[in-house]
Amino acid sequence: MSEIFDRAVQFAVVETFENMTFMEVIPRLPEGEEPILLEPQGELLPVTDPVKGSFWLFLPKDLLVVIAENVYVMETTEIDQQILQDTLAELLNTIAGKIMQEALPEDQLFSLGLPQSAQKVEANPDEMMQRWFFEIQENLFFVGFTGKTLPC
Amino acid sequence: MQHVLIADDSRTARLFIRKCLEIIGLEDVSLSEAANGAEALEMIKKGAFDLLITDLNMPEMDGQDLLRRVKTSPKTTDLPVVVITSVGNPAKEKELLSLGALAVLTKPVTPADLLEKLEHLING
Repeated sequence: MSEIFDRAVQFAVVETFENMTFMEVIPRLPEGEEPILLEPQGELLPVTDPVKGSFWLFLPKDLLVVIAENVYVMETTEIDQQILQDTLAELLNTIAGKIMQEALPEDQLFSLGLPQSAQKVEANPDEMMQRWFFEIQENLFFVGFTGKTLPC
Repeated sequence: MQHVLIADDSRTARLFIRKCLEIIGLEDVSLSEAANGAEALEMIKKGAFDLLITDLNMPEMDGQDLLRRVKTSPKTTDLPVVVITSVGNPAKEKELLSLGALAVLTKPVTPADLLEKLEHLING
């Protein structure tokens, strides 16, 4: 794994969550078996330039509801699936852009596609898959990247 | 009363910008929202806005195309446009500024970022 990319992911996730949700994020180092998320809600965002791949974000539904409540200042009963998906998409869009800014040289242009709902992380047989786990209020979530090569 | 148009395909992002504007004290403001560039352009043609805040990456018509159309029309060329983007870097910022953007902000946008870029508009 590229150390630059690894650091970029951690920085982007922490900064995005702190600025958008005012929640503290703790990176979780891999240990033992891969953690399982409860009722995972997922989104993917294609990268189209300078490499082709996808960023992924999966959060447990309970955590996503808390985040949406914070962002929208709404009661839990008012939070519907569309609000959850839109919140997830905006978080991923911001995180992915931040990762690319941090990982690539300053003058390197890059392009992202539009976010889409995802059920699970899927990679083609010739693609790599990376996941970075984080924790908010004892809730685990992860950011993923799939593609033939890392952007850096 | 100032009229501000927020163009973003994300409801969450539009809400977030609204909150930022409230935090920096833009209270005497009428806010309108559009979900993409095409919708925003139609609203601009029909209404009188004092400021456009637009996302860059949107379906149907993206923010760069919207900016170009606003700035090349004599009727709307004076409309201040702030572009908010997740693909921020110096080259892209230079390109957007050369098209006539007042400012380019990179997500996640904070109230302080908006205040810095809009202070003279608010005070003016």
